Amino acid sequence: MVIKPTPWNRRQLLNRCGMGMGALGLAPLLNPATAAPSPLAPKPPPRRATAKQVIHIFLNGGPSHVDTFDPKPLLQTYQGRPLPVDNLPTERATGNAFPSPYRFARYGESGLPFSEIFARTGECADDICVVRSMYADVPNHEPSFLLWNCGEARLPRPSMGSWVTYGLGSENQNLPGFVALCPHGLPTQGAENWRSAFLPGIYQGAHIDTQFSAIDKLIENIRNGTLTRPQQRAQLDLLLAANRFHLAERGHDPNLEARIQSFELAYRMQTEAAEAFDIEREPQYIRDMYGETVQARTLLLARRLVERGVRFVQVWYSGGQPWDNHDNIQIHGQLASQIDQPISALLKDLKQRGLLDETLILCGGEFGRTPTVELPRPLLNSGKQLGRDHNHHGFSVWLAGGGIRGGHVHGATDETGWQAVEDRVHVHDIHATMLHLLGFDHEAFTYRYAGRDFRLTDVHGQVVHSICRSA
Amino acid sequence: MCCRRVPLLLFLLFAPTPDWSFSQDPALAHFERRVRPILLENCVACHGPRKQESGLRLDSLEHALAGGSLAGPAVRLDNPDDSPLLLAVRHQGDLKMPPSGRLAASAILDLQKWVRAGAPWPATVSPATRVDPTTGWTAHWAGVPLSRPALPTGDEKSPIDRFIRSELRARTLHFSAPADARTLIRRVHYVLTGLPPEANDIHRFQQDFHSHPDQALDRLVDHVLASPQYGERWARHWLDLARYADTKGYVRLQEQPNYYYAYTYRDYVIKSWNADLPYDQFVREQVAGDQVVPQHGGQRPLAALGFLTLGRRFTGNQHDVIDDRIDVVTRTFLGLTVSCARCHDHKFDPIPTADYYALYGVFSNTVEPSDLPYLTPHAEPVGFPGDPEIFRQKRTALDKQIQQYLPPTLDMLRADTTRYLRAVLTGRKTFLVPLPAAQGELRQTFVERWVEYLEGTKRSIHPVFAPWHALRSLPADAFAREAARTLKRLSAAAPQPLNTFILDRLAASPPQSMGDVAKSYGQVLTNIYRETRAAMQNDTEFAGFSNREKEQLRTVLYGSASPFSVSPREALDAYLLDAEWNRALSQAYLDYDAWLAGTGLAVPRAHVLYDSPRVHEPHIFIRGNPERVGEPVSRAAPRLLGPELAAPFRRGSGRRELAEAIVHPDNPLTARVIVNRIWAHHFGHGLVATVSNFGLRATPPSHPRLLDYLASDLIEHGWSIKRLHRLILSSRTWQQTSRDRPAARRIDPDNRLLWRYHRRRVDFEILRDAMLSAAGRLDLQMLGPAIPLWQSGNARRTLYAHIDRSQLPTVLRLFDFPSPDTHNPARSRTTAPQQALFLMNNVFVKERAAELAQRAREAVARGNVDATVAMATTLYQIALGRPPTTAELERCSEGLATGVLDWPQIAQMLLISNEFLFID
Repeated sequence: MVIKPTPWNRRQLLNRCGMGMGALGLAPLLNPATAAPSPLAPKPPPRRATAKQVIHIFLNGGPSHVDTFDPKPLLQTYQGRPLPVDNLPTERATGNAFPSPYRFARYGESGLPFSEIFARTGECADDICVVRSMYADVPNHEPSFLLWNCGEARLPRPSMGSWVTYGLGSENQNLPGFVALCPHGLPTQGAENWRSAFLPGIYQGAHIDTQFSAIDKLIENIRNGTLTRPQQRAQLDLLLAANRFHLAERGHDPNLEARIQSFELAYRMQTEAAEAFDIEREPQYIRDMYGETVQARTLLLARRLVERGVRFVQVWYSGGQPWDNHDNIQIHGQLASQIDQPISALLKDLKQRGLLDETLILCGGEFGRTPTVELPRPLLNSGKQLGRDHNHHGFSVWLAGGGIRGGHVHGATDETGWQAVEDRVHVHDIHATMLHLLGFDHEAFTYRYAGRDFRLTDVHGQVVHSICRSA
Repeated sequence: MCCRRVPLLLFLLFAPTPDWSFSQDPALAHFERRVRPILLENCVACHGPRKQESGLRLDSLEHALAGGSLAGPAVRLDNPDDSPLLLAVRHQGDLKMPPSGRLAASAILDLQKWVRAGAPWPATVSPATRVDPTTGWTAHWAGVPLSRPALPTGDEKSPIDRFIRSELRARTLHFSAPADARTLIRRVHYVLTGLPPEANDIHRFQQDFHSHPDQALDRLVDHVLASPQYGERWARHWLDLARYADTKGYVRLQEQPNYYYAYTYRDYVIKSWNADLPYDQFVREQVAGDQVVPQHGGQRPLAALGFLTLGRRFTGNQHDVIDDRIDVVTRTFLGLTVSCARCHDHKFDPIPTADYYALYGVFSNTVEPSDLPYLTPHAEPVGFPGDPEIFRQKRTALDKQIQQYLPPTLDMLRADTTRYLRAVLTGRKTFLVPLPAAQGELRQTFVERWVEYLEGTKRSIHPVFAPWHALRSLPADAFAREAARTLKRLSAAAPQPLNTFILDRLAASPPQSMGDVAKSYGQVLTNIYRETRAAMQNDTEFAGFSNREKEQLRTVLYGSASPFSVSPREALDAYLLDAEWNRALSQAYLDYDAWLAGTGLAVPRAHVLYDSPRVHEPHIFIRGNPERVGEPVSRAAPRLLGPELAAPFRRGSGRRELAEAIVHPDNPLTARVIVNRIWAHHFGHGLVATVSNFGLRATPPSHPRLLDYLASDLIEHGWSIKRLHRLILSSRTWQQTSRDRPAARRIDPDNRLLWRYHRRRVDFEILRDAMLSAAGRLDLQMLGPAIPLWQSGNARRTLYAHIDRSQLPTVLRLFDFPSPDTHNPARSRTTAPQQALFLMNNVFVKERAAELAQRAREAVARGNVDATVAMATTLYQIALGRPPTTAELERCSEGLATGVLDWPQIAQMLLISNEFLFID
C-alpha cells in the first residue's frame, strides 16, 4: 500500500509558515499531540511538592564546620593540647586541638550562630536551616564528591541533577534542564559529578565555565556566527518544507515530528539562552547586591536560570577543590569573602521575587574538617601546622527555601566537633529529603537498568522530616 | 510476579516513562525493601543456610514458621504481636536479638508491620540461599535448551518471513510493500557500513534492481559485507557493549590516565568482524586470548583481552575493577545481570551470591603486567620514525632510575621487618589511602602486603609461619600459659619439620604476647636479610643458601610470592618509596609513557591480563563487603547453565574454561543473545527488548520460535555472523517499506510484530561520517591510534575518535553516545533542541556544507546546463541520491534570487534534513 503524498506547494507552505516567522506557523502545521514528547517536557511530581527547583551551592574541597556553622568553644580550652578524646582516623595524621581563628555571632530572631566569614549569609539566618550532624563514608575527596553528587562513591551512577531532571523535566524548553556552573575549569572528579550515567544523555548536566561572560563561550553552538537571522530563518523554512514533505510521504511518525519541532525550539533558544546568560541585563542595583566576584556572577546567573524554569542548577565554588585547606585554615576567610555576599544576595533576591518558597537551596561541601591541627607531611602540606585534615565523621551543610524550616539547627556534633552524635544525617538522607521536597518518594523513584531498579539513594536514605516546614 | 514498566531504551525516541509507581503488591514491596535487608544483615548469618543457632532459620517463611528449639515458631500468624521474633528484637523477655545490639527503632517497626500483615514472603526466592536453578530457569524462554523449531508453513522462501508472517496473520496483519531501490540501498549501506552510498552506486543499483530485484540485492549485500567499512560499523556496536574508552576514567595525580594501546583492541574487533571470525571464537579470544590458539595459526590474539582490561579503574579499587569485568562478561555474552548478586542473591534470577564470587575468583586470579607485551614479534619499534637506538636509550634510562630507587626502598623495608610484623598485629588505624610517606614512616600499604602474604601462608603448614598462626589463635589472657605447649603440639603434628631458627628463637625467649613473637620473627628475618646482603656482596651470582632452613627464611624476603616481590608501578601506586623518590620515579614513568605515545605508538602492544602464578580460591564477601569474609566457593560458571557447564574450574584462573562454558552448544544463552543483538541493529529493536537482560523479569521475546531458529541456525553454520546478516537482509521483513499504515498501527502501535520496517534516526557516528562522505572529504584510512574528535583536519571515521571516559566530548553525549563507564546494551535515541543547535551552527557542519556545495559546483562546471537547475540537481543527487522535486527547485530558486539563501546554506539544509539522517 502506498500513501499518497500530500505535497505542499510553496505558496501554501509560506502561507502556513509565514516567511521569516516559521515558529508562528508551526502550531497548525504540526500536531504537538502526535509528536513524541520532548524528554525535557515538564512532568508533574507524583506527590505534593514544596520545591520546584534546586540550587546546589557546592563549596568543594571540604569547608571546615568548626570555622563556619558549628562553633566549638571547647577547642579554645584545649588549644595546643590534645583533646580529651582520641583523634578519629581521617586521611592524614592530626595533632592537638586547633581552635577556630574566627569569631562567631548570632543572627536573626532565631539567633543562629555563623562565623564572621559568613556574616552576610547570617543576615538570612531566619531562612536557613543548618544541619550540624552530617556524616559521610570516607575522608577522601573523590569518593565523597561522587557520594554527594551521585549518591554512590565509586560506581557510575546518575547525578542528582540528572535524576531530578529525568523525573520532572524542565519548565523551560529553550534552556538545558540541568546546568552545572563552575568557574575556572572542572572540579575534582570532573564531569562525573554531573553525569547521567545510564539515564539518557539529555539529562546530563551542561557544564558552563562562568569565568567567561561571552555567550558563545558559555554555551556551545548557541550562535551561528555567519548567517544573519533572516538568512537562518530562510534556511530553516527550507528545512521545514523539506522535512514536512518527507513526513507527509511517510504518514504518521512522532519522531520525525519531534525532530521538526526541535529545530524551531533551537531557533528560539538562540535568543532565549543568550538573554538568560547575559547578566548585563540586570539592573545595576541587583548587580551591586551580588557584588563583583566571579562567584557573584555565577550565583546571579543561577538566579536567572531558575527564574526561567531551569530545574536544577549546581553552583561550584570553582574548579579543583578550593576549600581543601590542609595548610592554612585562614584561606577559608579569603574563599568565603568571595561568596558570602553573593549567597546573601541570592537568598534575598529570590525572596523578593517570591521564588525562595519554591526553590530549594542546598549549600555545603563533601565533608568537614578536623577540630585538630594537621601534622606536617612531605609534599602534602607546608609543615606550618595551621590547617585541618578532612573529616567525614561530622560536618555541617545548610538548606533554605523550598519548604525548609528556617532559623533552625538540626542535630549536633560532639563537644569537640569530631563527629555527629545527635540526629545524625547521612548524605543519602539529604538526597531523600530533597526528593521528598520535590514531590518524590525516594524509594519509589526508580529507573530500570541492567535488570534492576536503581534509585538515587540506592538502598539507603531517610527523609529528615524535622527540617521540613510541613513535617 | 508483576512486571513493572521498563523504559525501553531501544525504542526510537526516549519517551519519558516516569517509573515511580510500584505496581507490585505493597506488602511484598515492604518485605523486599525493608524486611529482607534486615533479616539478611542481622539474622541470617546465624539463622540461615550456613548456621542454625538453636535450630532456627530465618531465610524462608517455612523455616520461620517452623521455628527453633528455644522459642518455637519465630513468627506466629495467629497472634502476631507475640511472635518470638518480635519479642526478641524488642528485648521483651529473656531472648534479646540480635546479639550485636538492639536494632534501630524503625527496623523493629518494619518487622512488626510485616508480621502483622501476615508475614508475606515472595514464593520463589529466599534470602541468601541457594536457589535451585533447575526450577523456573529451564522452563524460562531463555534458559530452555535450544532446539531448531519447525518452520511455519507458507510459500515464503525466507524462514524469517514465515515466522514473522505467522504472527502477523494471527493479529490480522500483513507485510508492507517492499521499499524502493533507493531506500533499500541507503538502508543496506547505513546499516552495514554506517556510510551513505555514493550517487553513482545508487544509480547503478536502481537499474540493476529494476531488471533483477533479488539478484541485485544479493549482489549488493555481498559487495557491502565484503567492504572493510562493514567491520568498522559493527565494531562500534560491539565497543558499546565492551564499554570501550581510551582512558581509565578519573585517576589520581601521579597516575597516568591513558590506555595508550586501547586502539589495538578496537582494531582487533574491526578485523574480527571483517574476517567474519566465528562468534564462538570471538568470545573465547576476548575472555582468554592469552590461552587460545588462533584460528589460522600465528600469534595468540592478545589484543582481544582489551575487552576485559579497558574498563574504568575506580582509582585502584580492585573489587570494583573485578565487578566491572564480571558485569561486562555476563551481560555481553550471556544476557545475565550477575553483578546484581554482589551483595545478595539475585532478586529475580537464580544467581546466588556464591555464583558471583565463583566468577570473582576467576578475575581475582589474574594479573596485569606493568610492561605490556608487544603485538609484533619484535621487541623494538619496527617502522619507528626515529632511530631504534633512541628507544633503547630511553628504556635504559628508565630502568636506571628504577634501579636507583626501588631496590634500596625494598631493603629499607626488609630491615624494618619487626616493625611491620608488629603493625600487622595492631591492625589498621587509618583509612587505607596511599599517601606520600616521609623517610622512615610506616607504609600502611606495605603492612597490607604483609597481611595478605601471611594469609597465604595459612593454607598449608608453612615451615616458617605455622608457629605464628598457631600462637596467634591463642586468646591473649591464656597466651603466656599456653604458648610453649602450643608450639610443642604443633611441632609434633607437623608433617614436615618446622623452621628451627624460628623455633629456637621462640624457645630462647619464650613469648608473653604476640608482640614478643613479632619481635622474635623480626630478629630472625632481619638476621637473614643481613646475611643475604653480605652473601650478595661477596658473590654477585648468589642465588640462595644451600642450607634449606636459611633458604626458607630468605624466600620470605626475596621469593616471588613474598611481600617484597613488587613491580615498580605497584610500588609507586602504594607510595612505598620515600615521598621525593616516589615523585621522581613517577615522573620518569610519565615522561617515558608520554614519549612512547608521542612516537605514534609505532609498536602496538596489548592491554592483557594473565593468570596469577598461584591460584587462590575465592570467598564470599558478606553483603559485598571485602572485610566480611564468608564461605569459600569454587571458581565456576553460573550454576543456572547446568551442572556440567558450571563444574568447578581447574586450570589456572579458569578463564579458558569460563570461555568454553559460555560458547558451549549446550548453553542456549550465548547464541540467543547475539542473534538478538544483530536483529536489534537491523530493526531498531530486538526480538527481546532488553538485549542484555534475558533474566526472568525480561520482556519475553516477540517471536520466541524465530529467536530459537536464528540461534540454532547460527550454531549450525559455524557461528557465522555474516551469514546471519544475509539471512536477515534477504527477508521480505527487512525489505519492507517503513511507511505508516494507520490500520496496522491501531493493532500494533509499537510495530513489535514488524508489519513495517522500523524508521530511526542515525547515531552520531553515522551523522558525522555521512556528512564527511557527502562533502567528499571522508578519509577512509583504517585502524591505528585514536585521534581527538575535533582535531583540525580530522576527516577520519568517528570510530577513531579518542574517547576520554572522564571528559567525553559534549556533542557525543548530546547525540546519545553512551557513557563508556559500563556495558551499554543499547543507545537511547533522544530528540532535543541542543542537537538542532549543533546542526544549525557548528563549524564542522557548516564546513561540510560548504564543501558539499563546492563539490556540486565542480561537478556542474564540467556540464553545460542551466546553472541553478544543474546545481540543485547535483546537490540533491550527491546528498540524497535523487533529483529535487519541482517544488524544491522552486523554493531554492526563490531563496537564491532574493539573496536570503546561498548554496552552502542549501547544502547544509540537506545534510541536516530528516531524509538524510534517518534510516528509512
